[in-house]
Amino acid sequence: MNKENTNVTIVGAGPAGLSAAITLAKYGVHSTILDDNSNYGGAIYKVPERGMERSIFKDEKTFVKARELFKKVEHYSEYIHFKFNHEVLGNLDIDNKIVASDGVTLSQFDNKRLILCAGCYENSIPFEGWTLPGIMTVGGIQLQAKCGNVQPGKNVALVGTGPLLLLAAKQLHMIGVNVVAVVEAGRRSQLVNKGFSLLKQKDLLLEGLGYIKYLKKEKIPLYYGYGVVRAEGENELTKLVIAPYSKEWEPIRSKAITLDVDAAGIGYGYVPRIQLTQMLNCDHEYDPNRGGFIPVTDEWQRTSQKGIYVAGDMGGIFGSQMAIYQGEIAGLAYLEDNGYLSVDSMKKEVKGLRKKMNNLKRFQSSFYKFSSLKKGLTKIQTPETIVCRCENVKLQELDKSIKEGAKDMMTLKMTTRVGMGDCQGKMCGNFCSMYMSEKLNCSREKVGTLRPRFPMAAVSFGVIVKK
Amino acid sequence: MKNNKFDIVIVGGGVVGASVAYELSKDSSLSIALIDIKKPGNATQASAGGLWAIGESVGLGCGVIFFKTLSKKRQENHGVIGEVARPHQLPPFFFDFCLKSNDMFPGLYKELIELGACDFKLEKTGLKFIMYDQDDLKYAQGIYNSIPHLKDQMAWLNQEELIIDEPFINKKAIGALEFLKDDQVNPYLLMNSFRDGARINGAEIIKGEVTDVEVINGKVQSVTVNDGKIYCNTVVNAAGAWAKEIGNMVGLSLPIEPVKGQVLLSEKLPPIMRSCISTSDCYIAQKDNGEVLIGSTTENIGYETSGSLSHLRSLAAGAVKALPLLRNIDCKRTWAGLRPGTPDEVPILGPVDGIEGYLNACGHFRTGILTSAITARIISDLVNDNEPIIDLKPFLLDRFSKKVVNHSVEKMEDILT
Repeated sequence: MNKENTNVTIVGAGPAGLSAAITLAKYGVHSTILDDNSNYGGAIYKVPERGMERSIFKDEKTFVKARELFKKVEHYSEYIHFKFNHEVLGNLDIDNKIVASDGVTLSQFDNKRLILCAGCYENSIPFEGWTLPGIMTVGGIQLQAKCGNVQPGKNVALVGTGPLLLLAAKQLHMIGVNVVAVVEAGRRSQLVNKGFSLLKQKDLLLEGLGYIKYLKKEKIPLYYGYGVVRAEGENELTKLVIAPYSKEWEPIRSKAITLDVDAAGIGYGYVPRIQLTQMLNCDHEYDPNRGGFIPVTDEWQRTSQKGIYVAGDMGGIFGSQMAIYQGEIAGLAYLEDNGYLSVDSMKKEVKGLRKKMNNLKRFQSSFYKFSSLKKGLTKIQTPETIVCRCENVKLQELDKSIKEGAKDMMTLKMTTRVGMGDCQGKMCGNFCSMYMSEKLNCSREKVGTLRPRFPMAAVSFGVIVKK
Repeated sequence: MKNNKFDIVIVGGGVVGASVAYELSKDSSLSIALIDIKKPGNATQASAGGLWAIGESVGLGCGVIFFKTLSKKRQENHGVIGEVARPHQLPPFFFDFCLKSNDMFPGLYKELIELGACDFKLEKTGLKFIMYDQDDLKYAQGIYNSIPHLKDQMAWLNQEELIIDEPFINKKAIGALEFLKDDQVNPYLLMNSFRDGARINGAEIIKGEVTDVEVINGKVQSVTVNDGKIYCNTVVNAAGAWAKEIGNMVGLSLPIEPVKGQVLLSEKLPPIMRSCISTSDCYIAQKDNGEVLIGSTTENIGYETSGSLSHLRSLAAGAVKALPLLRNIDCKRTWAGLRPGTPDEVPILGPVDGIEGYLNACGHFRTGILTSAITARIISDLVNDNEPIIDLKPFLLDRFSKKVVNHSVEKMEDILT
């Protein structure tokens, strides 16, 4: 093994990370991929417990695409070195290292040659009763259904926005769950008259229409322009109240409907997992259509920090196909920056890729109006609603702090303890900044973000000590 | 900004600035502005919140940890332990300063709660210095014998007594020296409480960076914040690790440098310790919400607040040694603060010859939380032309120009390396 070629570290073994590693391997460059899962695939291409071939979903589109990608990974296995069960805990700048834990000890990796593909997590919107057992995220439910045939409950509602609601509904139904309703906040009227740009991505369009057809056939009610109001139940979820949403997604409570459910998946979009790029001091910008704050990149996926590249949803939500494209671009940029490839051949390599990416972007942008989060989501709470689950902070405490002059997330954290819990605000941070910017009528940039601290995920003192 | 003229402008919204603002705001005839900006490294927020009046004065807490690091370095370099047998102990006037400040907290607590400010969680804990071997014992005896007048505030615990008092302590510890009145608060709640109190009393809190302090004919005129001038009669420099920059604006050269301290914080736990603990490896304090805070390093590397694994490891190892159950407990956060270090480890307080209307309230190094109370009282005395409650001479800036400074941090390093 050529030692010189072994020092690219890729964070995340999802589609973006794998695609980057394959691109590097094609030019004989070795990479080490860190991932906290026990196998590659990330969230979207996660392989079922019993293997892909025995899954009832084996013919689903994502599995077909995943298989294609995995085949390439296996082909280049000599060059791609996986470190599974390695959770990245952050950047220690003074050591010039990022640090990962395997649950036994900490290991360090050079922070000057990084391709970061950490993906995203689901955006949590608090509402009355959302901490009741039985309320989950749509993605969590879907992943468990897809990979372990786990039924979250007998009667399940899926509420939020975006295509995952439809996919999750289909998959839940396939494993025998009664899907009571699929509740989409976007309005149907905003989907029509986008025909032209949607046709640019026939595959994706047909995939989506396929889900809708399935729901129709199986008589699963699909509500457009509706959203969550509150959850009810003694010790666990028994009722979910939904209502029509206004244009700005404010619930019209007089027209509320109560659903009898024992589980619900809630999914109002995704948040790029930017904690690591924040700790690496990369510049960030705010893009509401791509999940909020994202690292600034050039068209070659280079961040503002030399030697650090970002690909996939971590750099803005575009989904798995774009992640594969961006992973390839990041890989090529690394190759060019390190002299494996000339600028000209790099540009030649990506010609076809750029066109596909542009089409995909255009397709996705036709959903922005439909699916982008509206300010009504900051009005479904009551003063008593718990916002930060780690520290039990209620909405009224945010109000008090804002009233007393808090104008940014850091002050909000110091005065209310939001984001001081074990999750460091991954759960509530996005909502809090959305709420604050609404209340103060100022931009999200002005409100800012929480500052992530090492370790980004809890790690025992024993692991820290063990050398 | 509603107003651009105040009697007093306080620069720096950490615990010292907030305390000064609160104390001054008790006089409703004074108009007060507190100017604050968020910068990485705010020392109040990286503090353990210990009110360790004796502990800090005798060099426990970060002092002894720093000393051990230096001794180790020295041993590695020379192979012998030298004449510096224990960390630097501060002079008697500093004990007095710390003890007086400590005595103020119960009263402050009561009045701030009554006023409607937030609860800063004053807890009677005491501080135990845990001894593992004869060297630790000798060190503790040295401390005990050096402050005979404070004997009633100290207690020896043998091994059995220690284990009864602290059931989770390392069973190999041979005993402890306890400082009975060295208690704790929640440091950032203390800062918030002072701010609440000041706000309730009518002080204005302004967010912004001070870029200039205008002095004409030896008299302070105004402070420039966010490109606007705020006129004032008095400016108080409480800018912590950044106090030097404010000093520069009025033509002073304040010998204050940032001294970095890294800390680690655990998940929330049920009570696992009665007292705060100091060993020669680290200090450990369980806070009001159950989190255990472990500190702290002493690093002279400028305005750098990133973590470093070797330091975090050695602090964690010290904590796991003291309380073995921590091995399986999660660390949920680490961060660093920048202490405002002075060459003699004593704060710089009070007026400066030739600049009317300028007051120092800076250089609090490791004891800002503890001495925030007395600092505010001193500043208030000065503003109101009262005799300060302690002799200010050893705290004035001009002490540095009059004599050679002993025991400076830099000098200790010189001796030892």
